[in-house]
Amino acid sequence: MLVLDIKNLSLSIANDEKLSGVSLALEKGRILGLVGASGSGKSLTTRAIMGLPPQGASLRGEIMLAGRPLLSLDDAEMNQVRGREIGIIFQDSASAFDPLLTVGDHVAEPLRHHLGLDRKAARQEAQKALDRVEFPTTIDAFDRYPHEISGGQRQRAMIAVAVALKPKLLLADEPTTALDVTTQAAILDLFKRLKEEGMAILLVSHDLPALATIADDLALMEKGVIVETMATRSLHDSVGTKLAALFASAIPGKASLPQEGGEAVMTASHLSYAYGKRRVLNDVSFTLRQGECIGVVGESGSGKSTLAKIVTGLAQSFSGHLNGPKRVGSVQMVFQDPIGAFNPRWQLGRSIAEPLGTRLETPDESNRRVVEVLAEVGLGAQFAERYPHDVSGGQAQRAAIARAIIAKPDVLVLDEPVSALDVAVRGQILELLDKLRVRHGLAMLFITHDLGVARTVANRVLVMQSGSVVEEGLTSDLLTSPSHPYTLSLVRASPKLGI
Amino acid sequence: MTGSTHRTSAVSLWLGAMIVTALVGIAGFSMLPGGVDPTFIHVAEKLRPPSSLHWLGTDHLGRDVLGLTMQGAVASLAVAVMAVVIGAGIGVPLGLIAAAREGWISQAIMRANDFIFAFPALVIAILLHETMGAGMLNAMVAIGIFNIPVFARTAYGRAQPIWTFDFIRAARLSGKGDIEIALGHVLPLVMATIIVQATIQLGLGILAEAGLSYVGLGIVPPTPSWGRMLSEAQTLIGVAPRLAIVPGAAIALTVLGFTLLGDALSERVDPRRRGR
Repeated sequence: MLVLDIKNLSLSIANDEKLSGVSLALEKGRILGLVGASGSGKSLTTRAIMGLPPQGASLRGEIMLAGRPLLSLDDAEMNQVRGREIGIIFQDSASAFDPLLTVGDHVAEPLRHHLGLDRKAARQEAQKALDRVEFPTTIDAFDRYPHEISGGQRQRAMIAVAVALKPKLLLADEPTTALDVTTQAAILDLFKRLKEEGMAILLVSHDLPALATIADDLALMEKGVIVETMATRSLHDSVGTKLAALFASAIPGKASLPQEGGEAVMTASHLSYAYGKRRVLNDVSFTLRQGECIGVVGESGSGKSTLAKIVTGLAQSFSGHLNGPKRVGSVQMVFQDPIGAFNPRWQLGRSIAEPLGTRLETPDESNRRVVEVLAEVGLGAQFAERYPHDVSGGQAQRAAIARAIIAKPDVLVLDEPVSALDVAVRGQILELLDKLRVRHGLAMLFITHDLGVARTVANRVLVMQSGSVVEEGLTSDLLTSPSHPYTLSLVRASPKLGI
Repeated sequence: MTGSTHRTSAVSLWLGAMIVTALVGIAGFSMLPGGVDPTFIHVAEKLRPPSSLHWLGTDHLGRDVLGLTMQGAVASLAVAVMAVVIGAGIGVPLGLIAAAREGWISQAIMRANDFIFAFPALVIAILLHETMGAGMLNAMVAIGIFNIPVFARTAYGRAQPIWTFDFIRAARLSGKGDIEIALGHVLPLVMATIIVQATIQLGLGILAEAGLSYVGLGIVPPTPSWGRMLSEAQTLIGVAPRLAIVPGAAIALTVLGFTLLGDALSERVDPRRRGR
C-alpha cells in the first residue's frame, strides 16, 4: 500500500522554481532515503509534505497521503494530519523542545491534543511511546527538562513525540547529523525497528553512507529535481550512476600514507587539563613526526577539542609537557565551521594573509603569497576579494586551509575539518589535505568523530574516551583488530567502514 | 517578518533622519551672525502674542520665543553630543576590555558599571552641582557618566560572543595579541551597534539635558535652554500656554527624531531584527 505518493510536485517562490516535477512513492514498512547536497530541495520537499511551505510559495502537483490529497486540505484539516498521520523529526533536537516543559510533557501533549486523553491516560500512553523508542528507563522523563538529557536522548524523545500517535508516515530531516557516531548508529537502528513495525519513513540526509545502511530505496535530488532513484541493494553494482559515484566519493580510497619516520616535530607527554574540578583530559601522550598524520578519534566530550586547544597554545594552564615548534605561527589550525572561521567583514585575502603578520615588508609581496596559496588549495586569485558569506562551505574551507599554510607551519591541527561539509566536497578536501601533507612534509593532528574519515587520512590513530586515550596504533591494525571494546564499538558503529 | 516591517523601518529612518537634519540645520542657522539676539531683554515687549516681528511671540522678559527655541537646540545638541562622546569614549573601551578578559577583570568592570547605572543622571548632577556648580559642563559630565555603563554594556554584549569565534583563534595563532585582536577584529564588528546606541543616547541626552536645566542643574542663564524655558513658563501657563508648548514640542519632536532614527538603524544592523 502506498502511504506517500508524490506526483509531479513543483514549488516556486516569486517565479523562481525551487522544486520541479518531483515524484516519489513510499510504501508501508519501507524507508526511503532522500539524498542531496544542501540547497538541493530536500527540506523544501519535506516542508511541502507537512503543509508548511515557505511564505509566498506556490505549489503544483499532487501529494497523496494514503490516498488522501494533502494539497487540497485547508489549514484546520492539515493540523489534524500533522502529528496525527505524519510524524515529524527535526535535525536540531535542542530547539525543538520547549525548555519549560518536561520531556514527558512533550510526548504527552499530542496525545492529549489529538486523542483528547486526560492527564493520567496521556501519561501512560506517553510512557509507552518512550519505551518504544528505548528511552532509558533509568530516567523519569516526566521529571526531566530537555536541557538535562543528552543530545541522543533528546533525539529519542523527539522520535517518541513523533511516533506516539502511531502515524502512517514519519518524516525525518537530517535526524542524526548533530549526533556522534555511536549515538547515530543507535538512532538509525531505531528507525529500522519502527519500519519493521510497519511505519513508512522518509529519511532526508546529506550523508549517503549512513542512509545506505538502513534505507530500502534511495532518491537523489539536485537543484530541485529528482535525478536518480534506485533500490539500495543495487547501489554496489550500478557503476556509472550518480548515486554510486557519490557513495564512492564519500569513502575515498586509502591515501598514500608515509612510512614511520621523519623527525619528531611535537612531543606531548602526560597532558592533563581540568575545568575547575572537572577533568576533561587525562594523561595524554603522543609524538607527532614530520609528514605524518595522527587521527584523534572520539565522541563529543571525549576531550579532543581540549587537546587541540592545548596543542595550539590556546589553553595554557595544563599539566604535563608539550614540546613543539616555538616560532610564532608554526602551529596552525583549520576549524569545523569554515564560514565562522573568517571575520565576516574581511575579504578572504586579508584573512588569509593574517598569519604573515608584519613579516613581509610590502603589501605586494603579501598579495603574491596569498595568490600562491590560493592556487595551491585550488582556488582562483579572485577569491582573495570575496567575502566569507558569498563562497560555499567547501570553498571557505579551502580558503581556511590556505590561511593555515601561508606562514609555512610545521604542525597543522584540523578540528573536524570536513564534518560540516557536504559529502561530495568531503572527499575533495581530504584529498587536498593529503596532497599538502606530502608536498610540505606537514605534520597533522586530525581530530574527527568519524573513524571512516580517520581511516582515509591518518596513518596512526588515537582513540579517546572521556578524556583518556584508550587505544592507539597504526590505523590499519586498529581498524582490523581493535582491542579495546570502545574502539570495537566505534568500528561497528561507523557505517562507512562496512566491517 | 515580511515587507511591512521593512517599510515601517524605511519610514522611521526617513522621518528620523529628516527631523535630526532639520534640528542640526536650525541650530546652525541660529548661530549665524546678524540675527536677532534672543537673549536680549526688552521688558516693555513682554508676553506679546505671535506677530510678524515675533513669530511665536515673546516671553515674560520680552525675549523672542522662536529665537530662544532655535538657540536652545544648540545647547541641547552640544550637551547630548558631548555626553555621548564621554560615555562612548570611556564606556566602549571598558566594554571591550571586559569582553577580552573574562574572569575577575570583566566582573569588576561590569559590576562597577552596574553600580554607576544604579544612579540616575539627576543624582549625579546634584552631586556634581555641589562640587562644580550648575552649568553646561555639569550637565555634559553628569549625562556622560550616566552614558558610560550604557555603552560599556552594549560593547560588552556585542564583543563577548565575537571572542568565541574561530577567526579569533585563527588570529591568535597568527601571533596577534589581545589588543591587536580587540582593535583589528572586534571593534569594527561592534562599531555599527555602537553608532546605533549613540543615536539613541543622543535623544535621551537631549531629554536629560532638558530635565536637568528644568530643575536648575543644567544650563544657566542667559544661554537659552528648552528645559529652562519650560520651567520659566510654568507660572505663566494660564496666561501664555505657548511659552510651555513651544519648547515642550521641540523636546518631544527632537527625542522622537533620534529615537526613530536609532530604531530604524538598529533594525538594519541587528540581524535578529531584520526581516528574513
